[in-house]
Amino acid sequence: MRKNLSLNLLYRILNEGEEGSLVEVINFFSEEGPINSKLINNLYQPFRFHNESKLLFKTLEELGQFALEVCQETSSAEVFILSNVDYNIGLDTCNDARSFRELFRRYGNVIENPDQSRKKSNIFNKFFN
Amino acid sequence: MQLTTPEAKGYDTVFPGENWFFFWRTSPSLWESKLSEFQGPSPIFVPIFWGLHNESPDVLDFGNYRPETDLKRLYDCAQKVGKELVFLLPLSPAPFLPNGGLPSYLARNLLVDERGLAVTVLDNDGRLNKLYSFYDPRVFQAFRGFCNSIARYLSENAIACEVFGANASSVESGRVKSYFNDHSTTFNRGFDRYLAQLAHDGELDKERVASDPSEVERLKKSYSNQIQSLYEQAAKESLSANWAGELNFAFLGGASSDIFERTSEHWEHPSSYLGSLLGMTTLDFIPSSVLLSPGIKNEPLLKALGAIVSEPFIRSHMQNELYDEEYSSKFNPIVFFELYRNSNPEAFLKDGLVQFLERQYAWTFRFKRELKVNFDEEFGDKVRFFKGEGLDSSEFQSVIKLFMNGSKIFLDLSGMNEDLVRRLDTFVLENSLKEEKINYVSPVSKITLGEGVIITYSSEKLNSVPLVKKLKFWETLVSYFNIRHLDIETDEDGVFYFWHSRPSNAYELSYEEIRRVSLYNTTSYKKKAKISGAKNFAFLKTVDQQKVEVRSTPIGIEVQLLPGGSVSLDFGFYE
Repeated sequence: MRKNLSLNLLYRILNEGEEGSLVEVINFFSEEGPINSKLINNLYQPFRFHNESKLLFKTLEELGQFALEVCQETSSAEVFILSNVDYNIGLDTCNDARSFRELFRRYGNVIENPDQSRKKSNIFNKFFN
Repeated sequence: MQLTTPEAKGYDTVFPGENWFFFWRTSPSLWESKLSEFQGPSPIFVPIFWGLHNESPDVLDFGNYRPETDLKRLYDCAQKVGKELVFLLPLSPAPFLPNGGLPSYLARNLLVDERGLAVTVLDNDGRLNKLYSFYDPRVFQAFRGFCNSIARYLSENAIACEVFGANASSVESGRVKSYFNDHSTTFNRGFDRYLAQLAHDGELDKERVASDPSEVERLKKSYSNQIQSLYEQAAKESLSANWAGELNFAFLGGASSDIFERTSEHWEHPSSYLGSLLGMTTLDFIPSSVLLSPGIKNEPLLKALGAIVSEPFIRSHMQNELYDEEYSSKFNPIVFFELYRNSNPEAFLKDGLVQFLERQYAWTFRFKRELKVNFDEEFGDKVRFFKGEGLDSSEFQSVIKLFMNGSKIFLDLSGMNEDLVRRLDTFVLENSLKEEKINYVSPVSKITLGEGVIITYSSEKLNSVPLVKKLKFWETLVSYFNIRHLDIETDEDGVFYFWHSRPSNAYELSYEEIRRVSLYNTTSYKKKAKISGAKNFAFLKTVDQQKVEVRSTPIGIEVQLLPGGSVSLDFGFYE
């Protein structure tokens, strides 16, 4: 996987009755394809509280933390997190592949990878650093 | 309004794949020349695009306002150039049409999959088709009206063209998903009304519904089937003069999860389309590649599509009676086994049969939705598997008839109605049939009558043993039928193959039939395949060899396939 890519994470809220609601990851991918499942499973272990093969989280904060860890591990620039509800709303504005690719960027919540954003340089850094 | 020059395409978008013709994508003045130039299989499938003819509620246009809606002109063009057209009326959301085929004034409630995502499909032109729910009562009312209008139009214009109802599905991880399946609030509202009606009629066990989630799923399935049959009935009744039945299509690249990879510019497109294609054939669907742009259709996939979705294959799905006579000299897919999944499609997975067939007889079995038997045909050549669970009296009668006509049958007695079990016992006793019984993993009984054989077993016992034991069980039992086939060993990923056969011709009299195996390497690596030699088979020739090396060894044939390589090998089979 190349570095500095943007990741996309799609989730939905599951209502589990008395146990409250859970957050399930529907899809986690970059523009190059699905993220390595072995890496995902390793990073998911600290959050695991069940025996199912799904990626479930108790809160959205935990989901965000997990997404950031994947982002850091893959040296990606950022991760866009989008719920299925917002995905369905956002689809209304998409007519082709190009507008679909923008969906996560336009409607998702972004978490930036601090390691990568620190590395971002521009022409002035060359003079002042 | 488009202000820039339209992008020139290196392919003809009006023929997006196989024998499909998207007539609305070109000017009617070009229909005749396009149809005359078409070289693909016959008949040509022409979808009836509801939204094209019915842009607003009060306007139905069949060439009155816009020439591209003139189906009579299209029909005349085809007649003139001697091409056979078949109209396809979608009976479910159609992934290759904008709004799934619905008129825009009815495209209100998005179709939602089991993960809560709106079902969206990328077509071969790079456009997103959002699909909408067919459970909206307004959609059904309008559909019925449209069916009446189109029937009137066909009759008034003397268009003697067959109309098939088209059911659209996709295949995801080996499972079929109909585009009629819906998890939207529109579906749920309708389902609530259905439950209320059942409760009103005293047919709803409220306690069971509250405590058993599987009961809710069963009721949802039943509701969905009822609504689907309403659409089918409406189309069939209105279009009875032209109605020729229903066709089941599965669309490559049409799964709801495919959208993520197909819209990406850098995502490597998988070789699995070939696997999906073969899977769709096994599941008894007509595969369609109309959603895939030419860039994705690599050489192996195109070749496989050409070989599988051939004219005999299409006609066999249309159940055209001419099929047998006209096409028997051509290559047809080999089918050794038919699996009738009347009640539970997963059942053959649980007892290990599918896993066994995939390993030993890859792609030579078919799942059948219902038992349609023409008793004039030959029965001896296929082995048929039936599940007793859900088998009704008339189906049981057909199984017995098949047996008496010399068919080879496996019958799973688990869950079979006790009356039917008794009827089978009585049938054996009254006719003094030869019956042998053994206990091997499950109680197994073999009943014979001339060529006909019924082997009964109990999957209840079989389901609980490890897979290795299940595979051994099937190997032992299936070996009884002495099916002659060649073993193929391939590198695990990315090499696909399938078998065709045809009767031998006047120059091949030493053989009973010619079997052809076509091999494809869909990866970017070099791959190998070995075909072991066997009694009753003689290697004849290689056909259409591309980027492939074929070597004959003392133990068989070795094939080295370079990336994108493909080849067909012909073997003569003799008894």
